[in-house]
Amino acid sequence: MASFLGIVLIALGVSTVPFALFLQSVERDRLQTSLERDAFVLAGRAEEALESLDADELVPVRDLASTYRDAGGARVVIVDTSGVVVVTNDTEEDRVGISYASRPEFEAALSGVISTGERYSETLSMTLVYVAVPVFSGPNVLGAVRLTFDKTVIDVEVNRQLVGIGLVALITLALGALVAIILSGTLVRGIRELDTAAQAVARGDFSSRAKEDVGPPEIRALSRAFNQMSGRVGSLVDEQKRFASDASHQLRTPITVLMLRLEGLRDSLKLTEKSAERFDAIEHELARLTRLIDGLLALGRAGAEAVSLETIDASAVSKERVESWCSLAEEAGFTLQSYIEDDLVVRAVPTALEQILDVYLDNALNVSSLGGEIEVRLGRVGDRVELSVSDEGPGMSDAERGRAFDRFWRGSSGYEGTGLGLAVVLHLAEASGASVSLHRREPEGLTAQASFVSAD
Amino acid sequence: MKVLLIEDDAAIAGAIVDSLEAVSWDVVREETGQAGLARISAGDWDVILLDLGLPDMDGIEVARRARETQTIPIIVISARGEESDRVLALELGADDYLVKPFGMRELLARIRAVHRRSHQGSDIPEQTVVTVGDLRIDARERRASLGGGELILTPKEFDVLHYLASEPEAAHRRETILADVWDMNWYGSTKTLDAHVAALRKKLGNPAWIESVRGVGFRLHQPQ
Repeated sequence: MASFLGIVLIALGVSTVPFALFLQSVERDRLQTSLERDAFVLAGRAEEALESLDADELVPVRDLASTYRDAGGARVVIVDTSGVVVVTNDTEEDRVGISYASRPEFEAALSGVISTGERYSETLSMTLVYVAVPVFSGPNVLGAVRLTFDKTVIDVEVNRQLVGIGLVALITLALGALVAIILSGTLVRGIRELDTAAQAVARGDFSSRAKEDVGPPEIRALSRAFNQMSGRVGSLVDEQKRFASDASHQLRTPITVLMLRLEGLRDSLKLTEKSAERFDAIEHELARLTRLIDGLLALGRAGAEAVSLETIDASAVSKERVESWCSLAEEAGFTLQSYIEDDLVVRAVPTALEQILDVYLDNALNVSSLGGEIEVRLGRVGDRVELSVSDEGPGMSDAERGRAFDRFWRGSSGYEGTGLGLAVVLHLAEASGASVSLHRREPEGLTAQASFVSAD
Repeated sequence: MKVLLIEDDAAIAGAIVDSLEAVSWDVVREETGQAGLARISAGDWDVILLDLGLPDMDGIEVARRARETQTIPIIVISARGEESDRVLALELGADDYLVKPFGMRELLARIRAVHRRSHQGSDIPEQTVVTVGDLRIDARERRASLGGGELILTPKEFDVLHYLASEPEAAHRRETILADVWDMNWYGSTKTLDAHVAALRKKLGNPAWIESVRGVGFRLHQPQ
């Protein structure tokens, strides 16, 4: 709004200043022209008196000059052909008889040329505008008439007019600002509506719509286009989600058939140890297929739902998880060390912390078949709460770490996961405003980290 | 055991029929809801297996109508395992809800369980205390004890134990336990369940209490 007013002010300034300068020169010209005209009128009246140089004849000329002065006219000096002052309209007549022949304007006028200009008068200590015209009688110059005017009169007149212009400009500005405020108000309201809707869509709420009846036609058209766009994107996303969900559900029926048939077959056969192992392997794959389907469904939900954040006691949750995993870790030959600070609370999606810790621990238990040490840490770092799980396995290369959070990425370790665990972790972290990362651990191993927003 | 199977998909129907006939049960299959309802009112069945996605009507509607006149236990079979789907089916008259995929052992265990319950009579009040041999679980007070000695369990460990004890000897599928005990949005890792089972085994003092059932999940029973 302020910038808008600024632009209006600059526009007014740009148009007003040259206009004022123009006005000043017009006013000066106008005054000069009227002085010239008055000078010629006086010259006409003085012609006879100057011809005879009779004192009586000069009286009406002097009276005329005085009347002219009293009516707000200029100061008048009339000289004869030799340049001697014969008439002035000053209140004191002490200048009569003095020769002005040497003054340039009189010199010019007595030679038959009109002379105009400005000069500074030391006696009056002001800048004067003057016009000196010759008094002709036929081709002969009988004398000269000079009118002088205080130059400040022009400035005063120009200023008076400038004030008028300024007032007009101010009223224009005020009206302009009013119109601008009203216009920009509707404009801004329309854009705000659109902004709110756009932000909701960015958060994943495709049902959000901008109002189509706010603001000027262009904004309305934009809102309509935006609504069509978000509607179309929304239905595409829905369709894709539905497809993933339907596909996952549809896959369950043939898997069931396979499981039932396989078990039936197994029970009907007399199996050697070798072929029983092969059946186990098939059942194992079927179980993995099932987990994969569950994972895909979970991933679809994790990405789609706008879940609200809650305050979670990270210390208590982490301790409970570590306790739960201790026995399984021991069975697999691992020792689970934990360093968990007390009373740490974080903002996160419900169960996000548990799920992330579980995936990290599950992965850590799978890096080695020989066991080793796994370290769980929870601590405060600035305004974040950091969770980390470190193992002593072979670790990951930079390239592997870069891809580990991708869907279906399963690394090179031969671990038979679904390749969705870390993808789900990333989704949960993003929904919780947390960041997750994998780091090299010295001298060997991997540290999986999650940094949550502290709720303190 | 006389079982009525209402299922339109020939592949899964065939697999189920074969599985049940393998243990010498009588199975009749119907493809539509209408035909199924006619069979229900005409025959004398021990258990009804009902698919939800039928061509002529919703399986839930079949369960609701069957329940108006009959008390035969109904097991709903569905590909949708979300809590809302299960609750709806159970509210409208189903006795159990089996989520695909499932194996033969689980199917048989579920059928036996609902059949047993229906014969015990349905008017017994819901038990708050479950005992399995020396193991005693009080759901109301959320306490568990073994041979008189109190077990110190985390909330989730208690839930898992209680879930397994609700039907001792039956094999419980991993996915079902996870879906029931954990939030439906849970996808931490199915190892989460193994972690809890390992912790429970340790606290119970004998790993034989909770037996791993290959390809299915877990079963709770008193060690021999």
